[in-house]
Amino acid sequence: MRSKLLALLLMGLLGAVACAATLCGARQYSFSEAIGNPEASQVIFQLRLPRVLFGLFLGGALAVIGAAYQAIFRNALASPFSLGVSSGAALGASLAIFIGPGWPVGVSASAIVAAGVSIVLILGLNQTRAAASQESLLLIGVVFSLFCSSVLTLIQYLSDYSQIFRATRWMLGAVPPASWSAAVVAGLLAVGSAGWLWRSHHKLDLMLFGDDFASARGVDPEGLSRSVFVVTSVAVGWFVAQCGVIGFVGIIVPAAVRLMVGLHHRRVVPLSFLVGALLVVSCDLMGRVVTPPFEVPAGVFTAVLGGPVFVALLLRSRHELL
Amino acid sequence: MTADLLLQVSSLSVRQKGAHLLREISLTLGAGKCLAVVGPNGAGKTTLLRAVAGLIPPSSGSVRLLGNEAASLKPERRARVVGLVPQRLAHVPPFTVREFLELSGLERGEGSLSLVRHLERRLLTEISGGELQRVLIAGAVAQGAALLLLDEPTASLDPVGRKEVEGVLRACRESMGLSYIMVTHDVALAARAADSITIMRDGALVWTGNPQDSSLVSQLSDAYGCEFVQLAGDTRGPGLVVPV
Repeated sequence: MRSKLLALLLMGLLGAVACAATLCGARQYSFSEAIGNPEASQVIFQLRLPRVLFGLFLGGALAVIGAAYQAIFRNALASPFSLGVSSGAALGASLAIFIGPGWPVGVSASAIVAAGVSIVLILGLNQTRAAASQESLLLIGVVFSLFCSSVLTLIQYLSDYSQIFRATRWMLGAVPPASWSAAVVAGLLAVGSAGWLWRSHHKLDLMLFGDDFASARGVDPEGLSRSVFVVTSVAVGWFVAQCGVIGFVGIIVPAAVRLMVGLHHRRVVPLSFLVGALLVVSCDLMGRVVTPPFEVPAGVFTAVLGGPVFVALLLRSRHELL
Repeated sequence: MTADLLLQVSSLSVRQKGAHLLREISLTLGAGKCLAVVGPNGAGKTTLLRAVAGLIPPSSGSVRLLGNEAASLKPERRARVVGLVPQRLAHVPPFTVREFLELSGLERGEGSLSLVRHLERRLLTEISGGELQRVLIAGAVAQGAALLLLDEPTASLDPVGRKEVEGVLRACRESMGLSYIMVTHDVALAARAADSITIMRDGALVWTGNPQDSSLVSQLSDAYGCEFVQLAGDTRGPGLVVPV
């Protein structure tokens, strides 16, 4: 009952923020202008609405993917961002942009493949340790992320000024001025991932107790993990190729949702989707209204908010987060 | 032929990285029966449980559950027959006991709730070791398993916790008719709780008999490499078997 009320409240809030994000920006429009003024209609329906929808799906996808990683790895800090998968995807996309021909499809494909390779590499490195653990996995993820960032810096150093400017903005993680086709692809990836994870909610719950326990309860842990990594690699890789790395959403959102409604993924997945969508659309809106006509990337706000919010959640929680 | 047998293990061998973890194990267990598996560390007791639970594939031989080849059963179906109760969990998330039972499938094994009624609102992270074992056993009952595989259920528990777990196992057996295979180092518990005891060493079964069998003590002495004695029994059951 509580989670249903919360879901309704979040949907209402998301609707209100999405409306505000559609009408506000470098120039504000009223509802009547949005419908009656052809110029305003063009801006709103061809530029802002696809962007808001893109941000909504981006936030939802990042949050539910974070929740799934945390269940698979049994660690509240696990996410594609903290394990270095996002950085790997960013490196893949950068290589395609700066070394390859830079075709959008090629950039997305390169980021998706790099995300998949990153997961395999990080898990493989952890498995080769005699005492593989969740802590060592996170450490390897952090080191891998730093390595990818260093290579990205090298690529930037070797690029010309215009490419450096583009790359810097992209790496800060901004919701891009999206087309309707990009918003549709984002929607398919986000809703598809979230729907599949929601259907797997019982298995994700059991995974929290460990692979052996889940297996003894009828779950195939290896198969489930593999499926989660494939699905999330595609989603993370594609989103990183479009808008760079937007950090912390996959960590703070599921943590906050678990504190509100408990650990069951049948509630955590849909509510994380709503909170993640709300967070990214709000950050994008803030970025567009604080210094118009310039924009502050949404990733700057999620990074600035992410660390302190997570620490606050950790300190306020009476129990373990996971 | 084997439909009335809950479990039939035939010539089961498990090899990993060149090491023989289990060698030609054969055993059977009927409905409502309890088997205790004892033996020194590294004898292969836990591996045997994991192989029966389907967590380790056999290198040769077979495990049949209710007459069906265990390897051919879907994981969900297998979980309705065998319930593994691990010695400890890899991770204890802060679910309440009630939530844990619901996750295990409370609708299939309603009797499980009676085992933990007094704990149902408490968090798994806040209960004692003995209570957690009780909850894990109740979880295996909740999943609808007819055969519980208990991996050292009383290890690292104080006497109160051990008594608690023993009481739960008695309740499972007497009121629910469940069977169990219990791996333990507590020979006295094995003698009290099981219909038969099997001794393992170096991945093989070296002796199987009932707890009253006069050769149990000498067989335990051989397996563990130290002297065991049997203290006098009383009306509650056979005498205590203890190492000296």
